[in-house]
Amino acid sequence: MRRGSGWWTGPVVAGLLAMLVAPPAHAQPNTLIIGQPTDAESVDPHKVTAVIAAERLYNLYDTLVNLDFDLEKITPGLAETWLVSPDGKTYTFALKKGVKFHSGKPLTAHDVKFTLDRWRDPATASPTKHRIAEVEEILAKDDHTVVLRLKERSNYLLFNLASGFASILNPEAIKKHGANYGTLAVDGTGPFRFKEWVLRDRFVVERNPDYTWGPPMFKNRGPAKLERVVWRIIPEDTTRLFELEKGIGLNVSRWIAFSELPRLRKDPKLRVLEYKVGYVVYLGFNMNKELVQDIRIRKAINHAIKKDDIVNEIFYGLGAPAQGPLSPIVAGQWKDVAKAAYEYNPAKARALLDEAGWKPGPDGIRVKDGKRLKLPVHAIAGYGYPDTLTLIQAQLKDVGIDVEQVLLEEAAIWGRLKAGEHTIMAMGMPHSNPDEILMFYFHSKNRPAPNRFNFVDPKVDQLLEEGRTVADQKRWQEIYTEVQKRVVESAVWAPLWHPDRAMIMSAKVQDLRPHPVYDVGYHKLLDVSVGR
Amino acid sequence: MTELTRARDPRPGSDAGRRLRRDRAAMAGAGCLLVLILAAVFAPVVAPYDPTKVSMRERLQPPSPKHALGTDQFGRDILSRIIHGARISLTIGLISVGIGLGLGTTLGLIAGFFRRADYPISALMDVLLSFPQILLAIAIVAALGPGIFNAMIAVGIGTVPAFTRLTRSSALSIREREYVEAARALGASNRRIIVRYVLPNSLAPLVVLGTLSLAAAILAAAILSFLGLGARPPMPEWGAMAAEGRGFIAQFPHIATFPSLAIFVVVLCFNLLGDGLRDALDPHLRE
Repeated sequence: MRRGSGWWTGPVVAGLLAMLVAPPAHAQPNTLIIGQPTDAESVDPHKVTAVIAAERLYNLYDTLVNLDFDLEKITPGLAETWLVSPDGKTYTFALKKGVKFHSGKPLTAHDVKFTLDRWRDPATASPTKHRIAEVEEILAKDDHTVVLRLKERSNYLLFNLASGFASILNPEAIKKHGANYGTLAVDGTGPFRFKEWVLRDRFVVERNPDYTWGPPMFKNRGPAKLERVVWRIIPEDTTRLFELEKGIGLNVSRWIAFSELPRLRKDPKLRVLEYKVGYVVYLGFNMNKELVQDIRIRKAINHAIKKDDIVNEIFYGLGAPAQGPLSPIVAGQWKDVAKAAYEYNPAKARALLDEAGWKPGPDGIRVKDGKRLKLPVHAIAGYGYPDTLTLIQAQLKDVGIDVEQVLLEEAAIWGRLKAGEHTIMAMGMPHSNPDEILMFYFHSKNRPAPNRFNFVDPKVDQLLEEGRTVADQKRWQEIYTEVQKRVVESAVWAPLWHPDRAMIMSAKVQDLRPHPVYDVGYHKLLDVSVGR
Repeated sequence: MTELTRARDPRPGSDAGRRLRRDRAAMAGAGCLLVLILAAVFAPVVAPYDPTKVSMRERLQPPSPKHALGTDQFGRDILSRIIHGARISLTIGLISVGIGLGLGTTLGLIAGFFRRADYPISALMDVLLSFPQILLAIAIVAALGPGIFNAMIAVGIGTVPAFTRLTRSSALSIREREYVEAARALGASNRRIIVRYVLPNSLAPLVVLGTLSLAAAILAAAILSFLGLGARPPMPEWGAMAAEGRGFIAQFPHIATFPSLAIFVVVLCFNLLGDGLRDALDPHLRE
């Protein structure tokens, strides 16, 4: 007979021991070791959307243009200069000469054409192909000139060409490696070459010694100062913290619990860089669900959430309460959004629920026609969502709403949301321009995903389309002000907060400047060095 | 005197009861469990605070006279949460072992008594046993969806094979005994034989396995909740509490430590009691 008690302990203890005795760092000199909670699925730019994939793309590849640290200025990349026709429909890029892929093949305009055609090809099924949807035709005029013809003028083409998903590929490598490209083989023009990838353990790149074409937004144009960069995957928060703090396995991470920051800031062996990103965390209501179709319920929830508590108590003040969908650091944000926003006012929330016919039941939770006001909220089981929801759960219980947390693994949540099973979802979204988030979420053609709220407003659709093409700066702002106003007034969201980020590094790490684009943190690591 | 008592009372049960009462470790386990069960039953009376009441002003407090075991990151009283958590853990243990015992014993009796049913049932149990039981539970929860009820089912199914095998082996040997033959000669139906003779005579080891399984089931359910597959917040389940507190272990170790200690104590108590029961009931240990 088997003893009931220890059936699982053997494997668990063995696993723990294995983790303890595993060789710690790849502790060679001049190596940057980055700590991450999860791994990417690929580094083929046309197959991924994850932030942790994007930060690798910037280091393996180059893009035609770059977005500066201010999230506004477009600066050169592989294209030294570019010309835009007066009607805004034709872009002509002049490529830098002497650029070579890691395999040694020189970069030509044909590679650029191949890359962009592959990106928008429906057969590639890139999840980011909407970013160049307005491009009609791509021409390689000669070896160093690329021409993009657009259906209409676009305010966002250059932003999108600066994204890591627009990285330029080597057609020969794509053909040679087929489905293995991006996991077993990579060929880019970037400052680092692909070396090794042990899935869910480490991703290693080494310096590209031939690299001299770095973008002017970095001090060092190449080659990189670092010998190699290692992304180490450490799922457990505490393990990541200890390895960084003790300097045994990591020298930088962006994923350290904010509760540790007050202590880490005092540690002379560490440096804590806090910085702003364009990001918003929100509760989104699925308008297809009867329970939240009543705007009074949505408004009541908006009034019942004390956002200051989320920012200050759970995230230690690292961020700001959100009033609308756009981050205040992003151009186009409606500066007076607070006027339309819903202030914390539980009395008002209770009054709205009373008015909607939901009366407090025996246990304090409201009831209508024998039904309890129980609202499930879907969220990722990580990145601070469980704590945020536990606090919201308590705040909403105060006004008589029973929140049920439906916490799912990141890999599992997208399919469930796409199927529309959620009534409310808690989620976050990085953005560096208004189109990137408002078009994505609130255009009716984007239902059921990414418009997972099934929000329909023909006026918003029309404004968003106009916003893409309008040339006049004043009108541009008017358009997005109006969209934000309509979104806030409809209460389709309860915006929660705009998080800041903290990059915690060993004091030996020099000149690592976090980049806010797409919340990646690590853009090209050209200037960075690690002292002894 | 002893001889006289034995002569007067030949039932083995009283012997076992006496042996158990003499086993200090087992009695300590039983006493401790009794306290826990009482605390669980009277949780709303015993617990000093509402276990789900969030109070951000009192968050992350170390143990103090006001909060004997301190507060967690939401200012909830950890002692109150552990007391209420005892209800959840004991319920999970009882229900999932109930599932395992009910299903496993039935299947075991069928397999042991009817030769034709033996092979398919035993094969199925071998398949189930080939998975580590916690993995099996995780797979079942993944299929059914996370939640406390599904966790009970998953843990329950995980305990079925042990009960089936145990009952089957008892049934196999009891089936061949003379008193079963005698009952059959008197015209007793299969059902009557199983219920009146086979089942009561297989009970002793089942009681032992049941007690030990309780410990294992509580632990397994805590593991599932720790992994986010069991209890949903703000339910004060011990495994979930340990999981919530683990992010704070460097600065506020009390948040994760106390619920983990609670799991440790309950599992230890059930194991002590189970070991004592086995020693008391195991015929090989009798003089």
